[in-house]
Amino acid sequence: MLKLAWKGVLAHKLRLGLTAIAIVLGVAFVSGTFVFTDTLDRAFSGLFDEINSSVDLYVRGETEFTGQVVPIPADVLDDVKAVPGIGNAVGTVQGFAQFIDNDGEPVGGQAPTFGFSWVPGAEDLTPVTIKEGRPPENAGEVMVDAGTAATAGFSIGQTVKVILVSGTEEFEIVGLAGFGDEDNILGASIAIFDEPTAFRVFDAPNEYASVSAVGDGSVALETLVDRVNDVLPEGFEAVTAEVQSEDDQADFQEAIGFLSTALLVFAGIAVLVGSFIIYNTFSIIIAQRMKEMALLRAIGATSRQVTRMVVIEALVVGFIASAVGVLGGIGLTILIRAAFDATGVSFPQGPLTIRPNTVIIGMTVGMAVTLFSAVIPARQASRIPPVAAISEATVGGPKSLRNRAIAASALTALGVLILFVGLFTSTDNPLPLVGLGAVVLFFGVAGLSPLIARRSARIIGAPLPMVFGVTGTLARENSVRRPRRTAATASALMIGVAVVSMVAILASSLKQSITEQITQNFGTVDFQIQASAFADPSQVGVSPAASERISQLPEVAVVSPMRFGFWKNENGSERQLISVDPATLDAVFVADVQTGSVAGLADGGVLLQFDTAADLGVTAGDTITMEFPLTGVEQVEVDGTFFGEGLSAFLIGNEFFAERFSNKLDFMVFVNLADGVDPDVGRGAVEAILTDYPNVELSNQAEFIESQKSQIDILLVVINALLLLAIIIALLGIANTLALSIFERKRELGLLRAVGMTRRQVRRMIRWEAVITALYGALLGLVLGIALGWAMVKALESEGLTFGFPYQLLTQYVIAAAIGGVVASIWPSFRGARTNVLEAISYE
Amino acid sequence: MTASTEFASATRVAARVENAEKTYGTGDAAVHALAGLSVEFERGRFTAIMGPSGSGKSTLLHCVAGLDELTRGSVYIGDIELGSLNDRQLTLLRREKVGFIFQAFNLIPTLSAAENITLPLDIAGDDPDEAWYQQVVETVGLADRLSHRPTELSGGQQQRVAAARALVSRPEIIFADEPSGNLDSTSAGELLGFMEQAVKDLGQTIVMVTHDPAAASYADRIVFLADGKVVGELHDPTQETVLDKMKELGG
Repeated sequence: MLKLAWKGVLAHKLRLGLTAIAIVLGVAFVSGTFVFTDTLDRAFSGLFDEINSSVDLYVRGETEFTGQVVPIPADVLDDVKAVPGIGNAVGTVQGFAQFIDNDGEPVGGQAPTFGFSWVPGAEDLTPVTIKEGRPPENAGEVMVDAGTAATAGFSIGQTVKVILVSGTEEFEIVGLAGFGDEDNILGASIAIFDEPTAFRVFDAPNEYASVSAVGDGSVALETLVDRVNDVLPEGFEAVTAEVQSEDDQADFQEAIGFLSTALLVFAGIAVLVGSFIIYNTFSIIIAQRMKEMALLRAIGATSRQVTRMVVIEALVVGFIASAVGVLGGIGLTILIRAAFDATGVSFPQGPLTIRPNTVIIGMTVGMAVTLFSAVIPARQASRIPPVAAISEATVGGPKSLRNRAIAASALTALGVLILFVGLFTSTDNPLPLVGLGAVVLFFGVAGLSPLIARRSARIIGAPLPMVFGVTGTLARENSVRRPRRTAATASALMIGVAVVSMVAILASSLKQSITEQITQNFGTVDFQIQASAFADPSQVGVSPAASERISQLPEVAVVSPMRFGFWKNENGSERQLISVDPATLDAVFVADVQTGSVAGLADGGVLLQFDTAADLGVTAGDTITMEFPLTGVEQVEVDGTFFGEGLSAFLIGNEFFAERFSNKLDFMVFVNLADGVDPDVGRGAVEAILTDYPNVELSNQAEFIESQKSQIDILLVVINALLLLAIIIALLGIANTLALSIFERKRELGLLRAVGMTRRQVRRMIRWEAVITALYGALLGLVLGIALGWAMVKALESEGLTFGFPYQLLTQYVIAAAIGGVVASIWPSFRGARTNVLEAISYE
Repeated sequence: MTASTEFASATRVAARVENAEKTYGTGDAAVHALAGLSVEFERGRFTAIMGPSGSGKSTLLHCVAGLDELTRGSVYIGDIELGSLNDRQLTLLRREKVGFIFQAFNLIPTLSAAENITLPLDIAGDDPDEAWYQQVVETVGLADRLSHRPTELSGGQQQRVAAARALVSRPEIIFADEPSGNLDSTSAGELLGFMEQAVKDLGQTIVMVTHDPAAASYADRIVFLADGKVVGELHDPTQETVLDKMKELGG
């Protein structure tokens, strides 16, 4: 049987080859994700180790908050230095710094832009090496990393503008820095100042972001750490460099974990789509080999042996394809790395990391999916009676459609149920349930699909006979000849289109909600200023110096800055808050206060959105427990509640915020012009100041809405690019099914050619058959996608999401699917048109 | 071989073959399916081609019908020499000037009987001549089965639909390859009777390959082949004369 199975694979190389592509692509996606993230992980691990290699221990804040650095008072450094056994210790001042290049454009932005201090005599405690020139010694001097100097065209001795918390200032470049052998870390741009300058420009007087130390070798490191811990004030701790490396690594893994989960979801969709293709191909091949199977049965093979033969065939194909897929994944990683390098975000170089797990998971996924998809066809094969070898009797024809309808309906209902449980009952992370529900729903609908395929395809293909005469009639009728086959082929595309349409609806709903929120709640704003980089809002933003200058303009009436941060609730989970200027908020944001007042925030406390307050069961006058980066756990009084949407569920005052967070930049600044000032004139005045701050952008309301929308569009493009693979696999499926069907219909094609059908007409006939199948899948997917999208928007209604219907985009998707069908038909139609008439009509 | 060849005139002859050679393979393995054969098929007559297996009768039919190419020699349908035509021209020629009835797989399963009959016209985008269509359908005796799919028709009915399809575009010539080969004797009789009638009453030209003397006896003329050559001819045959001739050639 093994031999037979192997021969079976060889005999159907081409057909199985196309199937294999579906597996190869899916597995490549899966293993590529692992190789990519593992390689990054390894590279960063090396980087962190290198950075920390010259240090024995670090002092840091005990609690960790996203985007927050707990400042260490300068006298802590003196205390640490005084600890017996410490050889040397240094405090590093750190903060936002962004260079302006010689053309007035900001340098970097996507990668981190920051600066830190240089302390003479602590060279052995820093990973920084001097590549050229000398370190900064005086105010007005800066050292830049050699990588940034090269890309921005900076040279030693030139004057350069740097955007800082203290404002945009000019410095002379005195040196170029490197990190070990590297010129640059991750494409970040780094400015290095002497310590007094750093304290001033980062607005961190006598505050260090980190303190690092080395021992003098007299005591064990553990003892040293204990001794340092004894002298530290509350809220700080000393850890070994090794622990710090591990924590850095853990943070990084958490960040990258999100990326790998997201990538794996898309890989999963591709694999799911692929499973339909594999199922279909095996079903068709078995139908075509019915006589062969029946012959085996006639000469004494048991039905189990026949099943086993098909299963072994599947495993052989699965094995080869998965192996190729794993290799493909490695190739994919090389490509991705090259792509990132091209965009300027460079990853630390280093060998590709291919863990055994990557290979095991890739192979397992590929083979399991192939096997799973081939099981039903294998069982069909085993049911072929020996008599089929000698008769023309068809086997495996329409079985009970009723049973199928019942099972598929049940599955569909179950999918919907799981989906709704996931969406509408409050769980912490509804995504796994929603995903499971969607997958079950897909299988359910795929099961129901053959029942409606014939009728639907006839309706879709209705115009064809009118346009193309009998060629059209034949195309339409061919597409519904094997409803199961058509349905399985279309199901693959259905899944792809469903996800794409759902995403489109979510994006459109998001855009609509943003537009509504901005017009409703920020209707009184003239301009807003925000960092143009798409980065952590607590790390980039508007220098307070810029806001200060703008507020002094005679044309400007109101400048209302906001900051953004995370606090932790009693369970330790992070939640967002926004800090506002209590005096001016009313001028720029319709808070629609229910109880209390915005002005009250000046005295501390928090304003809650009404439904959040209801969820927490608090009203004005109650307190809630909030943990902040700088002050730890506090009982914060609820000042009141409000209805306004678009900022955050938690609002606090700017002064209250400044005492509790280390942010130095404004996340967003709203500007209103004085009465009677022409908007263009006012804008000109503000923008004149902002020429010193090219890292931020000024926009009026319409521009702001557009920029928000375009951010969603970028996300949409990225998601669609990731889903493209699933769509390609689905189209390959159409090509494959079509090629197999053409092979079956060789005689018919020969007859058509004999009675006068031209090759072009044959191609047209096959092309339109593909288009009908593609459209059927796309339309089913569209219906499902709209339903899924609608359900998700409904579930998120309380978050202020309103349903938006991107009919234009969805129409484009359907047209694209039809074009995809045409592309998928190129090869099968070419083959069909080349059918040898004589061979086709000769009687065996 | 026969005197008629020399007096052939273009108007009288629907198709002719001159010095046809068809070789499969090369060198020692070469098989000469047609070995310098010449024959012509007169307009308005029902010609049968007979011969043992391997005599080249199917090859001849395929080559005359423009489904296959000769190694040497020439084929004319009317005045058109097929060797000079490309695939598209050949296809159009088949569509306009040739009709086919095969032994099996004559019909497209997804089309109704009526659609199968008008298939060549539909492919060409031509409208059928309604009166002619009605006449063909009535002659074939399928008027009440027109909306049926091929699978709902008997074997004899299917072959008659094929015959009607061959007739409906009024081709110069109809080629039939063992059209009654899969039929019982009653159905075969009906089909062949209809073909005979198409020649007599409607003026069609039919060339039929068969190995069945009974089928051949419906023809006006029988051409006997052996080893890729014409070895004999019979006019206005009966079953007995056919059998006699076969014995004569075989012995």
